[in-house]
Amino acid sequence: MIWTEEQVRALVTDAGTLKRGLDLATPSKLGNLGRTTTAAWGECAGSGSKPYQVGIDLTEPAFKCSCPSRVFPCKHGAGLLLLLARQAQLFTGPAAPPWLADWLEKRQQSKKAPQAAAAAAKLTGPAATPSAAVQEEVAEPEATGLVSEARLQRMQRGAAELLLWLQDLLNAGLAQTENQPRTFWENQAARLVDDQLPGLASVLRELATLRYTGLDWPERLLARLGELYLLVRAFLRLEQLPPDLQQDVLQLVGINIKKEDVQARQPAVADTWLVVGQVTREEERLLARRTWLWGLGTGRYALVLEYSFGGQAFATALVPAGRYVGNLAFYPSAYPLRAVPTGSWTFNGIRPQTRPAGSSVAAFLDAYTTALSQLPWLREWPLTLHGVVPQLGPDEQVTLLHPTEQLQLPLRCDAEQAWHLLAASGGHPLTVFGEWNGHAFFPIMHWANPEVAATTVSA
Amino acid sequence: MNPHTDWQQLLRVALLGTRQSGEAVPSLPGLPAPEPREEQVLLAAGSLALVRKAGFKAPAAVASEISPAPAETAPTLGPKGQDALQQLLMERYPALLSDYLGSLAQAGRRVPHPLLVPLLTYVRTRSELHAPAAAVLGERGRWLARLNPDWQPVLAASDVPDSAAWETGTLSQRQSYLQVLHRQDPDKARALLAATLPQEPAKTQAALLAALGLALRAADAPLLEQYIKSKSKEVRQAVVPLLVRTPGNTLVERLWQRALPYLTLKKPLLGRKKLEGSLPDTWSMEWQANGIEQKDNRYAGEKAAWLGQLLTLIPPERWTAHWSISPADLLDLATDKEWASLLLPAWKQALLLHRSTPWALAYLRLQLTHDSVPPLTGTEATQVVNPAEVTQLLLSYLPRHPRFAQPEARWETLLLDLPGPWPEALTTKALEVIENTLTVPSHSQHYLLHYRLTQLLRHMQLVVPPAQYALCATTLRSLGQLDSTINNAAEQFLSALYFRQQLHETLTEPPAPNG
Repeated sequence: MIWTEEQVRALVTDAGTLKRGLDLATPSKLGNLGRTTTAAWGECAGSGSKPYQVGIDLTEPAFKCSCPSRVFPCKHGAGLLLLLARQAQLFTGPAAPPWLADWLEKRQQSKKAPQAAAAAAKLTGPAATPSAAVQEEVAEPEATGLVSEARLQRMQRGAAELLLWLQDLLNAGLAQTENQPRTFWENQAARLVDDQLPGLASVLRELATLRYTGLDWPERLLARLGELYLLVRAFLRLEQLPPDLQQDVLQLVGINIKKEDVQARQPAVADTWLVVGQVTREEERLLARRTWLWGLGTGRYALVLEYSFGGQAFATALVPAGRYVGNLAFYPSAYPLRAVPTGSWTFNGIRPQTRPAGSSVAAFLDAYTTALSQLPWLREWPLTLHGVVPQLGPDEQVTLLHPTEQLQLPLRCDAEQAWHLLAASGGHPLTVFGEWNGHAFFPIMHWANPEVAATTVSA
Repeated sequence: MNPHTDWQQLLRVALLGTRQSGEAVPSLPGLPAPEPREEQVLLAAGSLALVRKAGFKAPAAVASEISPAPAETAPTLGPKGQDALQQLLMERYPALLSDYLGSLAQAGRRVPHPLLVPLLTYVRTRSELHAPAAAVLGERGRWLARLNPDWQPVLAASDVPDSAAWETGTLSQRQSYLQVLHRQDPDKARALLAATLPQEPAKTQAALLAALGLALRAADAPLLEQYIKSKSKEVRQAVVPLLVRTPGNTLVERLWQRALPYLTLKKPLLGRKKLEGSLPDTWSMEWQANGIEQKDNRYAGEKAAWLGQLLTLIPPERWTAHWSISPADLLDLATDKEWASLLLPAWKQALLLHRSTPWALAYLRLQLTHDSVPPLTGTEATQVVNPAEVTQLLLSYLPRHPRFAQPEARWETLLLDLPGPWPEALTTKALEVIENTLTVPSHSQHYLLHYRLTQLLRHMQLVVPPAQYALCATTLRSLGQLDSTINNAAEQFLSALYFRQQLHETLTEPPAPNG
């Protein structure tokens, strides 16, 4: 198993921990190293009298350390994993020490427990889970499936109010929003939150920032307002929509479906899943990570959306190019993409050379149109293109050229990413995975064809 | 329906607002026209936005004028090498990057493709790294750097400068072009200079003339003689040190004749020899024609400056030959009385300028045995004397139990920047210094000593060979328990040493497939 620093970084969310981990990743700091196929361990001298015992369950991977740090993984765990990546030959201990064996066994047991619980929940129905009964927001499923009649009425009142606000906005003209203070958007967003429509509120907050994104902001603002209008109108006629689309609309306006409910109610899709892309973005005191998976058997894409607060690890340890065997439960939708791992979920090594199946430009544009017809509010469409060449235009803009179809796609990424693509390609074809938003392609991961040249090394 | 013109029309209405815009809202076939008009705009906007997304047509390909990068000819780095380089680019051990790039070039390895952008971005603003980086870019890296105007200067550092660079390049490109030309075709270089210099500003004249310094020839003398009469002090100051080193120049003889009356060696029949000096009385424009400036603030006093400049420019061997005395004896006499402050700094400059090894050795001995001798640093000393010899000298003068103290011991300057690789004997001594400084009670302020210990450890990061890791680790770890204040610096030193060992191993690691 080859771990690279980049992959370790995907597990260690806290930059400081990673840096201290790098400092620790030397045999002078870590001793009594050993490993089996599923675990690795070592000891690290800390400020205490006894060295800290550090262990890693490589199947997930998960970390254990006897240090008092509350950050997971702690710097010792990060250091151990990095050292394993760099100098696996140092890990000579053949059998796990008792403290580690205990822990691994407990992990095995607790892994089975939630599966059993999930199975039980399926049998007895969601009413048996106490959390659903306590929380008013996620009450009994009714006609709409998720919300109480009273809450729905309140939300629809809020939506109707937003409609009036939108009319006022269009009446006065978009040009005048340029001079509006932030509170212009924020006040209305706050009202939407009060009316339990946080999804719509976050759309408004995003609209407020559009005018800083480029010269074409009025065009983008108008398009987004139009989509918002369609969403509000659809929500006001919720019961007339097909059941799957109802689910989408409810999630878009801000009904959170709990992960546990998805795991309990949605059918599980079993496959070997490959992480084909990961984008981590920093929001206020919070890391949001979007991980795209591709099923080797089903050929299906899935998006796992996770959040991490204050340097804590993400709920699922997903690393770029990692391969996992397990089940995914997809959130109910007219075009299901978002998913969450459910049941057993086993890390199966890193496969930097495995690529998802690709499609032609014409075929993916068709498929995208079909998907839009099922879910008009689709934001990102995952796709893989084989044999494309990033090309630097005379205007310094980089596009993706498909040489056989003789078509080119505009890119939506910062200059550094574009140069990375050019460096990987050198004018030769690449495989690229990314997201299509209807206008441009956002590259997330790429695979170059391995060089066949010069492999000899002179000493 | 025309999605494009309809959209533009809709955009005009929306920007101006329905209150003011008289323009019609485009109607879309099959869609209702809700009331009020604002909703009509919103519905049309949402629908047209969707139509535009669903109906996106990829533009036809435009042939690129850029041809693809040629295949690589050099092997790339292995996974550990990539990892190590990435760490260097993230500014862990920034001092090691330049050396590492150099040894990659020597080993014939190139930077892997995924690290080209980070490398080029990192070195872009660090011109001292341009040449070492350019040497390891590989075909792909050179191809990439040529495409980006920000990165082109990195390549310029490795390009063999051509005559175009002489006409249009930056000053440093012109300098390097001239240096190469002067080595290969000195006549042409001189002709070029003679034709160009008169039109250049003084600063450029000085810089270009200085480019001759690497390979001075007798034939360069007339050109240099001409510029010694320049009106610009900057140009004169650049030319004089070159001219005195030019074979067959007449300037040294003129300076010698001028200096001779002011220094006398008295050899009495009984008693010690004595070095006596006197200062020149007047300065005239003739002095300036020989490169002696009227004002030189390196020396205390106007008259001292005239003599000081003379002594700096004359090869020091002239004096030892003239009086048949060894450099050691002469320097010893120079430490006497009030003349020391003039003679020692001037002769120190002279021995560096004329690269006189016997004088440098004598001077080093002097600075290791006498107080208040302006010291040669390790870097300066090793420019003139071979490093092993300097190291031996330092070792022989280190006390049995060396330690940092206040005031500074005479060997400190030399130790603190003596270039590597250090022999084990020296490393052992340096460790002793650290140990003794920490364990022997001292009256001086602790933080002063601590600062110098940190400085020493930081220097040792670069000069102690990684093979001496075990030796250092044992000593420092046990010391760390005695004195925790040194722990941090010691650990940094040890981990840098360990990292250098890893760097060294990456040079022979098999290349990675994804490079």
